[in-house]
Amino acid sequence: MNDPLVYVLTAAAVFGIGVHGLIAARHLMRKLLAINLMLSAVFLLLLATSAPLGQAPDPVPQALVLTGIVIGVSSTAFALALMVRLVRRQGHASLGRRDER
Amino acid sequence: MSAGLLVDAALGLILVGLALQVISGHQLFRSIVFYVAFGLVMAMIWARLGALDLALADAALGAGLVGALMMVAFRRLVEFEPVQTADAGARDSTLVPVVALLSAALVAALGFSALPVADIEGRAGELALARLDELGLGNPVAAVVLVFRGFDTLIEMLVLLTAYLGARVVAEPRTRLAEPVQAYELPLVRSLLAVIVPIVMLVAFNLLWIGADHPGGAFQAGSMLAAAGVLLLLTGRLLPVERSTWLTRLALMLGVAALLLLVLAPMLAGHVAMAYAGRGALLAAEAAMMMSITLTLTLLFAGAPAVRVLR
Repeated sequence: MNDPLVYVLTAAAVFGIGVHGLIAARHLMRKLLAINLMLSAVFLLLLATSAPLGQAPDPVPQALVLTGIVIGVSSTAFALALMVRLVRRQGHASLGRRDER
Repeated sequence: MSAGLLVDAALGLILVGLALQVISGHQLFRSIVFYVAFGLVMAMIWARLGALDLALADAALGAGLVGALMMVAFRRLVEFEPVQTADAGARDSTLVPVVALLSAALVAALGFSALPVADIEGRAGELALARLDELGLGNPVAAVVLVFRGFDTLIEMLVLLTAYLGARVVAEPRTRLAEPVQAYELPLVRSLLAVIVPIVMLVAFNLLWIGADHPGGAFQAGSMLAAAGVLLLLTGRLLPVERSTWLTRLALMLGVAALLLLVLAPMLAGHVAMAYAGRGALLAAEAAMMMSITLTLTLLFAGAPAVRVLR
């Protein structure tokens, strides 16, 4: 079985990168990509820290992550629709006023 | 250092590198492409961890469909204002790296503190595995998703439906629907579709059929079929239309309806809610879910209330 430590560290790094992207990015779609990175990091942490049962990982965290992936896709799709509407209304894809960009 | 650990470390490093590429650079489209690559490496890591259900779901949904949705939203932005593709003038606060480092440290600390928990007796997963034979299902993940935590799945389908309805509500009334590319009568398109679409359907129905015993199931199958729907939309074989039909609406709600039935039927018969209804009932519910998932994701990509087949 593989060493969960490697993936705990990977999850931590990806989560940090996601937080950085979420705060630093101007474009809303880039913020969305960063949120999706954070989401993947949380899923990876959840599965990496759950001990294996027999040959495969614990089925309960697997099912939770599976649900999480679908919820993530749903919320991303809704957020993208909101973003397209916002851009059409205010004319640019960042938070705040245009001159602040 | 064993070879397995080396593979894990390499995959982890690649994942971190791709994540860095997603948030850096000035071209948004480049970030989206790197995000798709990130999703695929993520799927390989799930496979390394032995979670094949997640590998399938993340490759099809996380990388494939989120990537496609991002790209089609990007295209709508470009149509609206071509210069909106770069985020110029980054004047980040010096606090940003500090916050990011602290967040990473928090996640690492959580991970380290969770590692020793592995030895606890009587975990939910053990209970699920112990009762697997009673159910006669071979795939423990399917048993958890559809039986032990069936309510989660019901709410999950509701979230998907709500997200679709929300996206419809906020969409501009007369958005220019994604026009089929002019090149869709290229000589190779027809033969390409003739090969790919049947294979995708075969794989999807197989994933659905074996889902109770092997990795697979409604979500994986539905997202694969939705990928075929995206392909048909891009090549102009499916056309977005402005008016939805009652058949479309029925198919969108079918998954939620089937799961509700799965919850309520045992209650009417005097059992607890979500009592195990038998293998056939599960397969029927999964088929209904697959249909709803396929249609929801395809319509989200089309940005339209319905699609029709090109005549």
